[in-house]
Amino acid sequence: MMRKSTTFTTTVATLLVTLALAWPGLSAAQTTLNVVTAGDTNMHDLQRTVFAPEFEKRNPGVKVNAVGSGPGEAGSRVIVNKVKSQKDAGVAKWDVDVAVVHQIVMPELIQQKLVARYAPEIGTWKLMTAPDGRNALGFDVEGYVMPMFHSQVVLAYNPEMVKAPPSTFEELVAWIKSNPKKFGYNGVKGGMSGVAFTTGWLYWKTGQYEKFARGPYDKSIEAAWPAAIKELKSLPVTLTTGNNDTLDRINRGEIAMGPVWVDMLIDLKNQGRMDPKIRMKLIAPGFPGQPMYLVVPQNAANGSLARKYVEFITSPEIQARVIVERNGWYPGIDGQHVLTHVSDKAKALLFQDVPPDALTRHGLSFPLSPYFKDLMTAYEEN
Amino acid sequence: MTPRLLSLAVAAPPLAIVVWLFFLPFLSSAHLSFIRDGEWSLRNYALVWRLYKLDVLYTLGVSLLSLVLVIGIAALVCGYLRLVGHRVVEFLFKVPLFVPFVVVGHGMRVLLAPRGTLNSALAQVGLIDLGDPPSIAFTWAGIVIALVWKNLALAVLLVLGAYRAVDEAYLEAARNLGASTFRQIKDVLLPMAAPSLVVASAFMFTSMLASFSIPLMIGGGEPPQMLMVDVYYRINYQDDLGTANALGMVSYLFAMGVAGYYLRTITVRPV
Amino acid sequence: MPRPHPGTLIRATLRMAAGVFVAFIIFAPLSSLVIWSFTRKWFWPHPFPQELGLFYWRKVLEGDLFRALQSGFFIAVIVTVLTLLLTIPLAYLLARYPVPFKAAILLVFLLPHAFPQLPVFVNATTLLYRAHLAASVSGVVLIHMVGALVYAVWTMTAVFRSIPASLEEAAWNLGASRVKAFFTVAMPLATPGLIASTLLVFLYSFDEFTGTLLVGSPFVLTLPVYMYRTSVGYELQVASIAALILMVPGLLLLVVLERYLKSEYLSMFGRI
Repeated sequence: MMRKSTTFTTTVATLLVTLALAWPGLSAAQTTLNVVTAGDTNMHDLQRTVFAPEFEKRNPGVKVNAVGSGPGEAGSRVIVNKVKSQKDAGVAKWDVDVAVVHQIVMPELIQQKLVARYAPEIGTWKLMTAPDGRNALGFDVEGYVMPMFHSQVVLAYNPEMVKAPPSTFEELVAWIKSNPKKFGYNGVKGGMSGVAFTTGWLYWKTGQYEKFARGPYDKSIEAAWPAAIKELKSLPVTLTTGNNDTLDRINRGEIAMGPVWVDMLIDLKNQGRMDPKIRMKLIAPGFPGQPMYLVVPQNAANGSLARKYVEFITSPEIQARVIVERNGWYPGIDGQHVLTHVSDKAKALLFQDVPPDALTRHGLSFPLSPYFKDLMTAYEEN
Repeated sequence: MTPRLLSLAVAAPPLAIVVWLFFLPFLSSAHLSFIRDGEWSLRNYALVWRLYKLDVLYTLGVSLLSLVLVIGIAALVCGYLRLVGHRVVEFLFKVPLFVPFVVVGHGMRVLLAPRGTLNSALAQVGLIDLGDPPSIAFTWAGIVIALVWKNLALAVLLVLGAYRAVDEAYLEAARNLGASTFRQIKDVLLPMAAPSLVVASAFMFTSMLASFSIPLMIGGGEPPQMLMVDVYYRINYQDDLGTANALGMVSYLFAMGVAGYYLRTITVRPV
Repeated sequence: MPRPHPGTLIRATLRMAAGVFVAFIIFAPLSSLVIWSFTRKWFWPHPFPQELGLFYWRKVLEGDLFRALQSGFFIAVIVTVLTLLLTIPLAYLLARYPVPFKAAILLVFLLPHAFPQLPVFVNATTLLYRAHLAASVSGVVLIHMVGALVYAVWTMTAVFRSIPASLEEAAWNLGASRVKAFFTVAMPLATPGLIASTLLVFLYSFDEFTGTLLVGSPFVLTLPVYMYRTSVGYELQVASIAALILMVPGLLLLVVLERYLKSEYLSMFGRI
């Protein structure tokens, strides 16, 4: 009788093996480059539908497996945990080859030796001149990152509901008070556009942007925060649940104005999912912006291919064609190498609502990471 | 091999999975809730008390309200189904059983948002003003409606089963004494089905307390939040395992109370 | 033809109204999904979509949604096979023999449904990371099994208990071994319960969200997680399509199998 149950077990085992082999990707003979992207779905769609096919065409035998790790910083955290667990476990070859992450996780990635100092080895390193390609929230990241693009938080508004958009924080506060519940932002827990707004508010209230963004860290200047946060929280605003929620509610007319990421707004407009009449404005003294970083884990299984992939994405050609022309975003490498490849129409669109000089004057940085952490807790406690 | 040994050997692998991936993590959760900056401390709980005591009350309130609504509606609807019968309604109430929580969360959000499908439809007949639409989604009411909608199916199924087990003779007697449908429900069906109702409530209460995907999708950005959403944010945005686990411990305590109650009920009646 | 009594007419109308009202309550959130899935454009202040079409259906069927559907289905099949393999012998022993700690064993499987899963699974993810199983199909299969085992163990134990032991004893008396009696007598009689367990376990795994969200990311994507991401990402059309697809297996089972399934099996679906 034992034979019968053995046959049964064998059948099931065979079935499982067949299923496993039939599974796409598991049995692929070619090199698979794993690209993990933090952020909203638009971010990893870009990798999957634009960069990956083009890169595969140029590198026969390479398959790019582009996956998303979830929206917001939580997505970056997933990547850190994933890589760190492989390091802690002593795995020789890590399965994340290229990662796209937020600034906030850079100190941990570098201090724990999770990412390689790869950027000086690639051809596009010299084309990258932005300060935040070398410094993230006061932390030295030189050589560890290449910015894929820069983004900026701005106020998006519906011109039918906001006849005279504010151009300073003072005017904004007056507008909020006379239009209760029509301004919406996502607090500090639901994504970076709300964090950027709160940070901009504190920069304005304290007037100490330089100290917060450049350091050195000094906890005593946080004394002015509680009062400022209490004032912010007393305003009649609508709290949304995330970056996308703010955008959606503006689109649906539920709110008239709110802080959003430029790249996300433009992306939605390009896809026909955002009302084309929605406009943007960068108000004084300004909001922070940040780049998305391309990093290569220390022991990436396909390290050299990963470097090639980053080089490909940061090349003037791709930056011009995809980042600026297709997506309407600010390039990751120096604009002078990129904008010559860009059509006048795309350039006009890029700077239509936020002209370059406004970007220079009011595009700020996020504070140093210790301030940043304190800010999150201070917001919840006050 | 003796049957005794054999049965333990057979039980070992599935038990190992639950012990490894549920019991041990449960212990580690309890452990980590007392660890702050690498040493034993109660600071996580202090933080929970300071920041989340309202959220705990809110979670209990939302769960209790949903539970009362679910059981109340189910008791009446099932009475009608038991005494009068309505095959279409009975079938319809089974539909939500097969709709996953995430889908309920998303569907309710699309329906109940300020400019969602419901408000759009109501505005067409002039009932509401879309310039200043009322919002059900993103408030406690949205969570309650979604939880009630999803759990009602289970409640109807269980309560109807219990009602059907009530002997027709009792109902006959009540009818002969002139009892209305409502009186038959209140005085005959409900008291006789009470024990199964209690067990059903216990389970539904824990599931509401621990609901995660529904409040995540339909809850608002404003505090207070449901406990599980707080746990998720603490981990994902603040990378703060200590506080997240302390919040988890609070939820375990409530679940343990409910489970204790359940155990007492089933030890009276065999499984 | 006798005229209907006016009271009967009123009652019939009321019954119909009750049916329509309940149908409205049940289908309101579901119909919103249908509308959104066919929406091409819908801006404020238009009360209804400005443009309808199959645009998003075409878009998702060639994109990530299909991948998520595929891997979710694959995982659900593995979970179902493994769960049944592990639990059928156990359920049989529990039903037939005086297994030590029987009640305790049964209750252990209930634990994952008696306690909030999210905080526990957060810690389980750490353990899986240590075992190199996180963010892999194996890890997701294991975390699904934690919650799925109870459906199979409890249902199958009840089913085996309901089969009179005398039937197998008769087979032993006729010279059949215990294993043979199990396969030829007990299993065929247990088929309806086996089908119920299979469906319960499959649906649990197919719809599982919390564990997959924590353990699977970033490499393993199933339909519920995909739907969640697109919904909070405000890709309402894509999310609605995913939601509709996610409901198909469950609703098919409801319609086809409702009459064959006893209500105690049905009641276990409610916890998915």
